[in-house]
Amino acid sequence: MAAASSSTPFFGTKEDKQNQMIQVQQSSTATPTFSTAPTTAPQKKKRNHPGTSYPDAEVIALSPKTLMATNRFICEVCNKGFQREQNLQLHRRGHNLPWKLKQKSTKEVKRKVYLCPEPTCVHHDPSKALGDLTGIKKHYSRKHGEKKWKCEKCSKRYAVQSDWKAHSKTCGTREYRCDCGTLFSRRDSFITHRAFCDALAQESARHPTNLTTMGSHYLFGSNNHHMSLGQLQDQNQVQPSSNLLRLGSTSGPPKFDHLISPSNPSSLLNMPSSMFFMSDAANQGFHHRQDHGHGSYMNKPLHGLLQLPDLQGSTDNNSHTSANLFNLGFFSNTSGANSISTSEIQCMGDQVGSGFSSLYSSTSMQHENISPHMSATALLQKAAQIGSTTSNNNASSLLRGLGSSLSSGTKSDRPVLSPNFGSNFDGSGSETLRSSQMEDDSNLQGLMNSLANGNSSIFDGGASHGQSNDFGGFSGSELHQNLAAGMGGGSEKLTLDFLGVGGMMGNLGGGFSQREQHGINVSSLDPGMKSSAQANPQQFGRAKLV
Amino acid sequence: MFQDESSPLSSSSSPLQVFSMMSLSPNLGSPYPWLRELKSEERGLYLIHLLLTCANHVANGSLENANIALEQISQLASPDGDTMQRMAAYFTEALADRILKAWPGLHKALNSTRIALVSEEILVRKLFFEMFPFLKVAFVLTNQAVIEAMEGEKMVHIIDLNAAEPAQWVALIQALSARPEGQPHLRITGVHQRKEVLDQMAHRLTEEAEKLDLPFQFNPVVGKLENLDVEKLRVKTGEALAISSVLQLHSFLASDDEHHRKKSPLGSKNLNGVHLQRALQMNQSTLGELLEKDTVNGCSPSPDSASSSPLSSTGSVKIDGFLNALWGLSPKLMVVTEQDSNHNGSTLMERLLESLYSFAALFDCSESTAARTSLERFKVEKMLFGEEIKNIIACEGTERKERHEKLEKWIQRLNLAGFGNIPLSYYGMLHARRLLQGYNCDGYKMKEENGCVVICWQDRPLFSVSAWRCRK
Repeated sequence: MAAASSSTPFFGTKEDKQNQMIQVQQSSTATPTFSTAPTTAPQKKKRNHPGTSYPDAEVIALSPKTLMATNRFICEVCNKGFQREQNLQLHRRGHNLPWKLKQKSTKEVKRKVYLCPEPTCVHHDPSKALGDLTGIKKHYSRKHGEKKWKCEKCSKRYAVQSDWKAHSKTCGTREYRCDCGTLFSRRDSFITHRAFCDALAQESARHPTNLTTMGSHYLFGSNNHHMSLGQLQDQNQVQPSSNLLRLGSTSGPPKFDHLISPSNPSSLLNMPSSMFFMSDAANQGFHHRQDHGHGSYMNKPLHGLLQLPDLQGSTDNNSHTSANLFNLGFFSNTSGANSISTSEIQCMGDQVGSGFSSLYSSTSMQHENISPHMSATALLQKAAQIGSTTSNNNASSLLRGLGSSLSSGTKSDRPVLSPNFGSNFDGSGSETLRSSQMEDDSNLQGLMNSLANGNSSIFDGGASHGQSNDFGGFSGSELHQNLAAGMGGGSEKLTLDFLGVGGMMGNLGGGFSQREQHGINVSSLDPGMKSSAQANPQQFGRAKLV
Repeated sequence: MFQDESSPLSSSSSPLQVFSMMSLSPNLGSPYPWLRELKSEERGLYLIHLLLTCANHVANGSLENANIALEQISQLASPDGDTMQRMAAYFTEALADRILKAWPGLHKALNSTRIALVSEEILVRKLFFEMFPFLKVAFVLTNQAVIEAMEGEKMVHIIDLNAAEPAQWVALIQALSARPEGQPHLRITGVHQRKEVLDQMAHRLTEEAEKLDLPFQFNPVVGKLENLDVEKLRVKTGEALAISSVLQLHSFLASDDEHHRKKSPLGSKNLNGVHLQRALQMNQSTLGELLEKDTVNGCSPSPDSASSSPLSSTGSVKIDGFLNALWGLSPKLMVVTEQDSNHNGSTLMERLLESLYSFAALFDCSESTAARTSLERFKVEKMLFGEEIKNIIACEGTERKERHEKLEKWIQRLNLAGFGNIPLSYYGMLHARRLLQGYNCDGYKMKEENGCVVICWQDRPLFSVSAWRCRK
């Protein structure tokens, strides 16, 4: 019983013991496979061998009409029909029959066995007769009768009302659904099926990336999880949306309706952006998979997303292809929206790429110097070390450490570097370079030292907050130093510049005084300043302060 | 600019002239010989130096020099180069944005046609979730804490302050429906700005719950978190409440920062006008002193901004209010995931230095995760990291939302708000560690600090996860 009953619709669920008790005798004969030996069934009632239980039983063959007749207890007196024998007895009392006939007959009631009137049925044979009238009636209805009772939740039909009742009690309450779409009411059969389910095997074959990457990347790394994403699609392709609703818990089907209905295709309009996102991702997934093949991460994480548009599209029974979905997206509602979105994304990608390429050409050293690549963290630490170690050293060692080959003098092989650094050192270095050459070395070195000191505090301060306090002090002191240095040299020019004539500053706006001026220029909103500042962004020095 | 083409220069500047001429036409395609010879490491160091100098200039208000530095950085930085080049690209963009904010009209004009593509934002967040383990570890730890806290509870209500990623709750649904004492009745309330995201999440979660026969309900709350009305969360009596906050609390620290106006020369209008007047009136010998004071004001960090500050500084009003509101819901559990870096310094230089370290770690992560040509990596770096950097560096006041703070400050705050720490369980950490190992990347580390978990990249703490209960 255990093995076969699950697959036959005959027996409903295993929970209904009553049914089984009644069906005990029929079960053995009803299943074609059990025609000979059902002896090992673990049922409460002992099964008898069919056809041999009562060898001397009276075999009764009723016609179908009689079998299906509802009133089979007929009163001899008035020929009235009754469904139950007790009702007939009660009725007979009313006839005032003599005492003798009231009693049941003394002789032992002869056992009756019944035959199924259907000639093709196995129970038509007297040796395979059924012993119970109710049983034969049910058998006849089930097997050869019309199924008039239908379950409201699912599509199952039943000929016998008690079967139908038993089923509808358990329909939808405790069901197991394999990911391939098959439903089970029994846990053991469900588990057995799942172990050998073809669909599961297909899933794993089709989405190997899902398993390997999702499995490790997803939370809990459990097997259940990374199956689900890929199989969203399958499930929803197999089942109509009504099944989705049905499989909710009994406690909240109305809520699920409410939640699911927005997701039905009819209300896809509600979430165009999400569709677009999914389509976007899907497109990119396709796009990159087909064309570029780079970005290994595109395939795996978005593969799950690729399923989602199908998910939505397949709940609709017609051809809701992804093209329709894209219609609802950001782009226009043409049937070419699919291609448009793809091309748009391609364009975006191309623009991005072209943006890259322009950058690439201007800084073309990227692909050349990749080999000894340090991580950014290591670079920062190194910079901090350099800053701290060269605080008391020569300026040249600092610069050397920073990768330039600047000698101690300012005129070197790489003169371009020094002005750069000079400008970086708040411009005072450059100013001294330009204005007074004789002060170059001393100033530059002094500035480098101060900046090195400052650098050390900068870099170390990155790690611990306390030291960043030094920086403020540093900058102030550095400025002071710069000012002092500058004052030593070009005080004349400072004065001039400060008054805003700015005549000499044909060269860089990196002049020290210039900088102060600009500091004031830029940050103030004085209209005169502003206009002058804005007029010639490249000629700050030229601005007249009106 | 460095100089004008037509200006007469002394002979010593002739290579300089060449350099400047080259800089005027950046697309010449012929790189500067000296730059070309810089190796990656030297270039990286040079970039760091340039960045700091430029930031220094910006902080001082010496825009001319900042401009020069920016120019030089732009020759070396690139969003598709090595990590330091990429970082430099985004940091200089942020610095330039900051400079530009001194001209609000210009700034607005340049940003006027920028549209935010919602789909791209959503995609980028998904990419971040997939590429890096940080969110996944946070989710694993959160879920484990929820499961443990909800042992024996029949009605479980979870509030997700940023319901963007269904994977977290899918895993929780699976775990809860498999628990030995039977399934609880689960309700998840998700808050998000975008309705579409919530719809997607609802669909995904209800589907999962149906598969497993778990009684489930998803309540979406559309809107910004800062405008959240806790009444909308509809917490019912008798249900066990858990709150999950992933990278959401730090934006509540954004405030007007009154005292900062005096500090940064950029962005404050009135005081600079005063400066100008004073400067004009003053003798030039005192100019240096004036500027010293100014720069000291501008650059010196307030002593309370960093580590052991009193929390009752400006900006704490909003966060306190929000935490109090959450406390008022009497949650059984609140799991807080936040960045574990101090990006909320009061001065630019502070923030720049800190963020250089943090983002160096993040960019290194990114480098070891995806190829340099990867478009997804570029998107994450540009739209997620780049925007964060821009916010940290270029914005002030209420605009600056990315106010990350160290874990100890969050601990202080939450303690003050009436929450007590729950140590994260060993089993959860084991799970998380296994997840990190699955990433096949040596850099990720996880350490435990006072019951909280800190996710690091090569010793640089990046994110922290901590669990709290409502202490009555």
